[in-house]
Amino acid sequence: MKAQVQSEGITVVLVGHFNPAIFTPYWFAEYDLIRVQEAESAEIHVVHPDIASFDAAGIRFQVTRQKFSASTVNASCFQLVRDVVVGTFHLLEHTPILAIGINRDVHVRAQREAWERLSNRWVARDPFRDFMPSPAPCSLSVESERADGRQGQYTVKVEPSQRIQGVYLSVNDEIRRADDAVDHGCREIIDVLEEGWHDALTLSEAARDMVIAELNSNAD
Amino acid sequence: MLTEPMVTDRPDAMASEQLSRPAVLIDLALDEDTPTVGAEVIELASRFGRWRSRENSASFTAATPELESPTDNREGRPGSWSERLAPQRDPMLVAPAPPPIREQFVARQQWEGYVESISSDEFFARLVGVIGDRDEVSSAIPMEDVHPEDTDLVQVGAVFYWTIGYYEGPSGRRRSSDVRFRRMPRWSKRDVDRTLGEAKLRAERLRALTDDSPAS
Amino acid sequence: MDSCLDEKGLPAALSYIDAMSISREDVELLVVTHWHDDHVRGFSALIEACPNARVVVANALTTDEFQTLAKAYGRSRAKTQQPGLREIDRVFDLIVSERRSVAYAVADRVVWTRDVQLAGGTVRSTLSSLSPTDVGSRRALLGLQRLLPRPGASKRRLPNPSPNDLSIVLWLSVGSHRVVLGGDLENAGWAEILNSSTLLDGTASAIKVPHHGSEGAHHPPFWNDHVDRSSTAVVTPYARPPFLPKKSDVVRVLGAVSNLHSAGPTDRVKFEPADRVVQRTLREAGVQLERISGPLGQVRLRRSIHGSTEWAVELIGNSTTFDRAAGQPAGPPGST
Repeated sequence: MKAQVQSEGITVVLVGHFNPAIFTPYWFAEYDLIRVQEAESAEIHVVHPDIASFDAAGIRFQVTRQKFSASTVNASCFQLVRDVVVGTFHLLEHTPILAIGINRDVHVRAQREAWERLSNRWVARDPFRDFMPSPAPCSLSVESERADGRQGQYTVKVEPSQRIQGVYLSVNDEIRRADDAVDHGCREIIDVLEEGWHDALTLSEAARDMVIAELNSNAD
Repeated sequence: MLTEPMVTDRPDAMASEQLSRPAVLIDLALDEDTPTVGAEVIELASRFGRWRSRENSASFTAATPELESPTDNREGRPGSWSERLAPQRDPMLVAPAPPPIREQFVARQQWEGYVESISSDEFFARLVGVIGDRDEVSSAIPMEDVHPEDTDLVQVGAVFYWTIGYYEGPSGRRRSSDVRFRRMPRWSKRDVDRTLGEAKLRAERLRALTDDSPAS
Repeated sequence: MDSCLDEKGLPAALSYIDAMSISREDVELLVVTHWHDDHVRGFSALIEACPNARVVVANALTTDEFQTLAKAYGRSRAKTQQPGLREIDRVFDLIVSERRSVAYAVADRVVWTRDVQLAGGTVRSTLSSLSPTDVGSRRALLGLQRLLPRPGASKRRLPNPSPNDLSIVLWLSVGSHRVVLGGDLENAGWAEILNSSTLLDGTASAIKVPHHGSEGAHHPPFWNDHVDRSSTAVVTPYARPPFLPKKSDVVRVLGAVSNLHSAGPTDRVKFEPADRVVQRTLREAGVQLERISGPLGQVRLRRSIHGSTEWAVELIGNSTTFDRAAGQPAGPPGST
């Protein structure tokens, strides 16, 4: 059985200081960030001064006072997530944003033993056998500095999927506001998001493809 | 009596962890008349997610640490809950988890394209594959395939995404073809000033380089 | 001169140099005639790969106006967002950061010269830029003013401005031989060259046809005065609307030269994605895709410096020769 992607989503998370009350589907449509029809057919979960949560235009928006997130499992909306987030915070350029995370979550359907074979190759168990009867890696995370020299990091996590038979991969591309940032709002960091989006997606695609290739290299 | 709920994030959450998950907690301040309210809290909590309780006759704690993300990897499935005993100072109310996404879209092909020319009932575009075939192609696309709210965006140079795939859900599969024009960000004064400054500086540096033409 | 990418995504010129066992260190000159997508892809990689090469760019591209365009639209990494401006932006960054040797092309400037000792004597070679002219540059920069970013304007993709007044045209003389490399210069620019150039001596026996053979780039007085009727011409196809050269363009050029070759296929090539869901959807929508970047070809012209032998033409890959009578490719693509 060849390993293949079962579901895949992109989430952009911003940490800073937000006002959830303003984020409604109609606000996004009024500023031409999504279509009016999409606002009208939005599914609203919570709208409150302290929390907003709704689905519109194929994107799930969740906003608290400290966090703004836009996520989608629809590949046709990946670029829209970027456009909406960039467009929103171009408008709200005085919003203090401290960090941005671009995340890709992937569930890969694979053979039952896929995680065990993968983790066997990547993690040595022998050092643990001295004091553990049956050591088995349950999750593997790898971090790296950013390639562009900016503050932040990349984190890739691989572990058994809790949703399907297979493996779960999470790739987090984190950008932190520079210590010497000149503006008090978010223009600089949103520019980094806009300019770095392509590279972020390319990196997470490479991680996904690597894991799938590794899974398939030993598949029956 | 219930007072206004307040929302806080988990105070001990590290920024990195915050950035990898959307997370919501709502603090609900309860006063001493809690036995009745406590029952309502437990009922709500058990309906929407995990909850923690402590042995305290005056208050209960219920929390779901994170709103549901359809592709995250938490244990259990949407709607399940687990019980733990943990000392808490303030009781918290669960925020209702958004409904799980029922239909999954499978993209088989996506192109990023831009408009090269427009005629009355179609526009000509150059397309570069983003998902699926990565070849560069060109095509005439009927204007009727453009969403009515996007027609004003169809201009020479406009960028769009064209995605072909299908929705898969409990009721089966349905094909989809979507042309979506990008609502491009606009130049701000700050953007323009910054660009002009950088350009001027580089132009000066280029002009300062010695021209190595034989005749110069 | 200029750059495009081969099937491996490498600059085609680099692949050619390597295949010919020419040392990259021996490359002396890299000319970027202008900044359109189909002329600059991979040019920055060429600069990095050829450390001793002088870079020739049009002087007009060092103006504040053009630098603003390159900076403004060169940032985006999206696939369709201004690959030409993005590449030229990188080129200028490299020139500045590495303090590369540069020559700024204007009308009537010699950008390279070499004397070679051969048995029959010394042979002087020069490469001169005939454009952009002052008038053409001013006209082009006025046109670019309209495209400069303004507060509130949408960050759309820029169309390639036309006519292309900023294109470099090169005049190569090796001994008694002349070659014109026409870039993408269009009509008014050629008229200005004729009116003002003092370097146009003699007639070319080979010509790289300007602007993919388009009618707007064919200036009969220039061809009559400076392109030999027995010359060999090469054209590069433009495989998207308006799809050049058209049949009428081929007939026109063949009326002025002895033979015409194309560096790639000129037919519109239909393309069908491999995925059946996509095929069915396109069919139901009545949409037909046409391929843009087909397999590349090369046309190699060689001749001896002394004597009057004609150019030896080699067709490599998907290059073709046009049949004079039919105005169409004479047969299957050449392959050597």
